[in-house]
Amino acid sequence: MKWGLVAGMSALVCILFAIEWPRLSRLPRRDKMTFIALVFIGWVLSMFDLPNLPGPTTMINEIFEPLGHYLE
Amino acid sequence: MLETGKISALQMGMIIYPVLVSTAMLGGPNVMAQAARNDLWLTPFWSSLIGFLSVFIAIQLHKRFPGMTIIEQGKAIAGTVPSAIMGLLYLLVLLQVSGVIVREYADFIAIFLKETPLSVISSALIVVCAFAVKGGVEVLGRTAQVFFPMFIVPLLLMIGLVFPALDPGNLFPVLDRGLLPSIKGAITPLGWYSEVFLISYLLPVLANRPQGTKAAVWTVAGAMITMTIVNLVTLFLMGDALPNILFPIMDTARYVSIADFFENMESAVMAIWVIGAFIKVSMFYYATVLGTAQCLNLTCYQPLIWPIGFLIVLFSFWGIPSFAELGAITLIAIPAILAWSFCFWPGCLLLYAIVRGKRSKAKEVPSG
Repeated sequence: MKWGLVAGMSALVCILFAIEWPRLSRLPRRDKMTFIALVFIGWVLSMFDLPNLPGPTTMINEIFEPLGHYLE
Repeated sequence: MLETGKISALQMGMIIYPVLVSTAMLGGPNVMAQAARNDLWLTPFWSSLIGFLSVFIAIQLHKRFPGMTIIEQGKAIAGTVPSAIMGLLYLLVLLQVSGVIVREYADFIAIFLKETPLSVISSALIVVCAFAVKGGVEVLGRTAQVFFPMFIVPLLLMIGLVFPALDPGNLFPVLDRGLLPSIKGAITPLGWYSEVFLISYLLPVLANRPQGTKAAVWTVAGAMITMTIVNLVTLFLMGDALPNILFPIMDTARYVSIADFFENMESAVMAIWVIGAFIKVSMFYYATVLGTAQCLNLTCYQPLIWPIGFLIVLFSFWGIPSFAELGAITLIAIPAILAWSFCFWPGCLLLYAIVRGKRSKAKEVPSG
């Protein structure tokens, strides 16, 4: 695991909180939870080696690849 | 209502037009020429049919449920739980498609900026788009309006400059292998045209709603005409070589050389592409953010802008190791998922609403 990346992404997350929290603190709990959940998902995802990790595009490709062969 | 801004029908057209055309202009002629060969001038016509169908579905849904976007319409038609699941899937598709568009942009710009990491290029675009989305739909409309001439004029100028070199003889033999190749060539562009369904997010904020239908239909027709012209120009210039040239419009621009003064016009193509990608990504970004806020019943969408931008950048890398892989998924998989989520699925919702006789209970007062 690259510690530089972890530190960089954590810093980015802190900046996002610093920017949005003043406004967010006045909003309902649901809004806060959504914000925290999205940032957390992003933070966790950024830790992986994403280009070489099977993702949604891989799944879409698996589903529709036979269609491509059929059309040819 | 989460969005309080208002735009005109013309501005809606100016937002949607680059959404349809920007990707198509760059690689489009090459993609269409691979299947259709010299009949690629007919291909935009076939693929635009799905565009008109998407407009029809969006307008009909909006007539039944005025003032609602597709996410809210889904809630009204299918009920809370099924619509929440479908809405989240839908948003995942929007997020992934935005990611792919950002990646296409970054990979193209990387041809010019060879040393710059892709993540820097895509983050820069997302930051600019985030500011546009933060301003709301009015800012989107205004930026689209300001950039529209800058999107069109360089293209027309370029076509004018290569005009003497064009050879209309490349068009022949017309349809010598029948209509099928030109229809096969329309498969990838189907996805681009179905993106016109994004008007579902703009129709509720139109100041002059009666003109919405006309603007949307003209946008699809305009995109079809533009694509046909671009296809014809590249075909006339390159002939049989077209299926082997990755970005034909770039090479058309490079070809321009008049009086040793008008040269290296590919920077103009890059400018068109940057503007087009900015508006396209902003629109998808806006739809994702607004859709998420509506799906989860939030009180405002602005706080979601940065986290979703962060996710779009991550999704632009997830599962796409190289440019070749990106090219492969944008040929069949992405157009298929676009056609599914922007035409087939809303079409099913509309049919279900018609069969069950569902429509909005409250008659909304037309604003403006």
